[in-house]
Amino acid sequence: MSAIQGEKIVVKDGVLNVPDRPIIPFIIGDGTGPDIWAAASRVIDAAVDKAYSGQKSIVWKEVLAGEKAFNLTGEWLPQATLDVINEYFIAIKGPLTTPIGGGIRSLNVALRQSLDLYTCLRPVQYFKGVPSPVKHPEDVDMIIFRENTEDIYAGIEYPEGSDEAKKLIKFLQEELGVTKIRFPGSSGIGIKPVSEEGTKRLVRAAINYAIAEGRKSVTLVHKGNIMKYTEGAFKQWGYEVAEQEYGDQVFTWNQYDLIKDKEGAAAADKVQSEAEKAGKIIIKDAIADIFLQQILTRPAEFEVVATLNLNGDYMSDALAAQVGGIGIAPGANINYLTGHAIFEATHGTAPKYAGLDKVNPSSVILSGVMMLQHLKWNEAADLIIASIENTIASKVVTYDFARLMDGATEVKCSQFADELIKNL
Amino acid sequence: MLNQTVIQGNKITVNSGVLNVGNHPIIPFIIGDGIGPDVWRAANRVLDAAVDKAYQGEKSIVWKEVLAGQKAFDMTGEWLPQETLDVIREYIIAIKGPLTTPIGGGIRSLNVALRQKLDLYTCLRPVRWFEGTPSPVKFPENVDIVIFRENTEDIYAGIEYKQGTAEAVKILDVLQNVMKTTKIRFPDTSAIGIKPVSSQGSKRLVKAAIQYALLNGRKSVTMVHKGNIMKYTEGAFKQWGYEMAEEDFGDKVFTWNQYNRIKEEQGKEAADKFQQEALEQGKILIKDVIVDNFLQQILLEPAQFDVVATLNLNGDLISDALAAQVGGIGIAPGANINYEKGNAIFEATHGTAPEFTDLDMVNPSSLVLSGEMMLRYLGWCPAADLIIAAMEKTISSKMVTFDFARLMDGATEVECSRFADELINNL
Repeated sequence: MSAIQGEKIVVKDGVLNVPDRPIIPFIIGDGTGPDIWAAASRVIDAAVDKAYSGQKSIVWKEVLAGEKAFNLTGEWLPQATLDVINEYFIAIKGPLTTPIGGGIRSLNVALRQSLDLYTCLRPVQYFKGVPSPVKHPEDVDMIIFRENTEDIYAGIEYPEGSDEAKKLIKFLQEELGVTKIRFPGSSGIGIKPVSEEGTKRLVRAAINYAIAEGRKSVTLVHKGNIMKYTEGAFKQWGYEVAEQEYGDQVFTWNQYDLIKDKEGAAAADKVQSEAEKAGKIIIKDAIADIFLQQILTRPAEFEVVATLNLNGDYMSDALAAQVGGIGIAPGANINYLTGHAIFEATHGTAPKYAGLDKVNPSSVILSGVMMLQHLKWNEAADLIIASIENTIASKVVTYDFARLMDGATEVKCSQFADELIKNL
Repeated sequence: MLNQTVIQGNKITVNSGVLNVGNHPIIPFIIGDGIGPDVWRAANRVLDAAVDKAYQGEKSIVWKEVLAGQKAFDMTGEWLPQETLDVIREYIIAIKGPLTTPIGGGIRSLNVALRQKLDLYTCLRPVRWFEGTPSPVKFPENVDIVIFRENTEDIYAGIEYKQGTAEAVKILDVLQNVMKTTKIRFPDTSAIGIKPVSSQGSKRLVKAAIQYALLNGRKSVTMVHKGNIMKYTEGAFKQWGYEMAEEDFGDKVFTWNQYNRIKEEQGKEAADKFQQEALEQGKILIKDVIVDNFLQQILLEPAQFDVVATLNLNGDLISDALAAQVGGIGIAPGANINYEKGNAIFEATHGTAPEFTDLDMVNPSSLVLSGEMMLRYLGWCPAADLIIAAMEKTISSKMVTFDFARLMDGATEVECSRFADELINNL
């Protein structure tokens, strides 16, 4: 087989132009990363080959990050890696070692910040046969758009007793008349910025996704009853963007409330029901704590979720546990305006299993599925999803699932990939 | 039999944080709006009967009604009369039904007013499963967790500035030009919230949780935080908690902070051995977990958690998630407490459900169980134990109100008052 040349993906006005042989950079990852990558890349290649009968293929291009980069170049995140990802738009990455001193957080943050990847995308679905702590995990099929650049996670904090904290508390008390700090003499202070621009681009991405994928609703999850001007504003800005930019493609609970106030609940219900029948997307909202209850009591009511950074962090992890998916949850960080996206494993490097060909490669494989969907290679993505469903349902699984399932056949990481390929 | 002569009643007094309850404490109650009167009548009868049975008439509660909410507004023109605040402050303890939200949001200020005036810094939320209760998870019986939620600070303190206001512009200017932060992604269109977390506030909360664990024979206190991201607020909460545990409770506790020090100096095996020995001696294990991991672990292995101490927002989300997990949204009890001064308000955590007003239909368990917490707080544990046992027996016999009946196979649906009768029968 001759080496395939490959072409760059290009982006125009946020729309990807994907050639038949796109070059896609990958970061192999540390610890179990190489095992998982070997499995995942084979599955992805086989699915693309099968879906397009050899007409399309991915030309992988390795870039360095993490321990491997450090060992080879002396740097945890070489500038060349950032430059290549910036140039090629899309990348996929395995888990990375946390260097002592916490440099890895700045690694992920550096990737996110330098490419302004403002959406953390986390789909949560149940695969039949996966051991789950709840009675009806099959009712969960959600995709979470978590805002990735602001909120109380922005990293603006001042420790108790520092000059900065003292200065800030003094300013709040003297200039803004604040009396609500219970112990001003011993408080550390965190800052929570939430902006109209940041909120609207996130909600826009979620609505665009719902329209493109034929989803029925987008739920804005917030704690606006307590934090009116930040989380409450998130909700309000979300409704604004929906109504102003999507007009008759959506029906919002904001509109519902306006009708209800004027004409009563029956009239509002009728308009909503008609909107649903007309295929409009329902834009609604839920208070974060109620949402955490309803994902347990009636998860089928939620489809696409748009939420702030901290809420999104909590919700994605709670939902992953609910469907038994902690070890296999995929994720992506995306800027829908520039087209940049990094798809990644959400688990750690599990160094004690490195090189043992033992662990479950599903998280990177499912990240690959998200990547194929992002490239609009849905036929290949669908093949992998169906194959994972069949393979798990047949109880041929890696040790993590095998120990929780009755009658399972435990296989190695590479054998699990073989099974997936067989079942494509 | 309740004593037929009118009992005068005594005021509860507090000395250095220790309650002196007396045999006939006067306890103010707020009856609540909507379904409040129905659930109060039921809860009141159950509480009185349990006390009577536990102490054969030697003890009783002398109830004293105080006004708040719609009833107060109808009778006095005020949603929260000053007199109510004064009486609750004077009598130390109170119990309250659900209250109507007046248009304009005055009720939040009502709850906030009660909490702030009395500095009720702990929101206490026990979460357990009662056999037979319909639940969305496979093993709800593994949940038995008491949450100490900090109630006076964190991002819930209510310090916020709306986008584009003079205040927001001013604080953004200070952050960017004085503090030199470059981390605000869209400074021109940002609203700003402030999150204060103090060592004093954290330590008094964690102290209350450890004291509770000691008093109630609990095995561990877990501090739930997001210190990996918010180092100087949530990370500090954890650190202050460990400091408090080691300084104030010395040989009564073993902390993961100590574990880590031993591990670094002498290796993991030695640390495991120390921890094992400490637990065998009945020491309380003080540990910590990152919030998002906690939200996963309560689904996967909830039995590893016992008492939980956490910040305001985390506590809000966690209490509600756990309540849903055990099928307890409608029956979860709660209390707001200042353990230093003794003041406490026990309350239903559900709303007023006005459409069910006076239909004698709804489940009174939230208020009954809040009363159970109150009895325990008074040190009247035998009466509290009777109520728990009656609740277990009644729910597992499937004699339940409509909310549970519709989710249970073979249930007998009873009215609110009948459910109270059943509880009393089963005391």
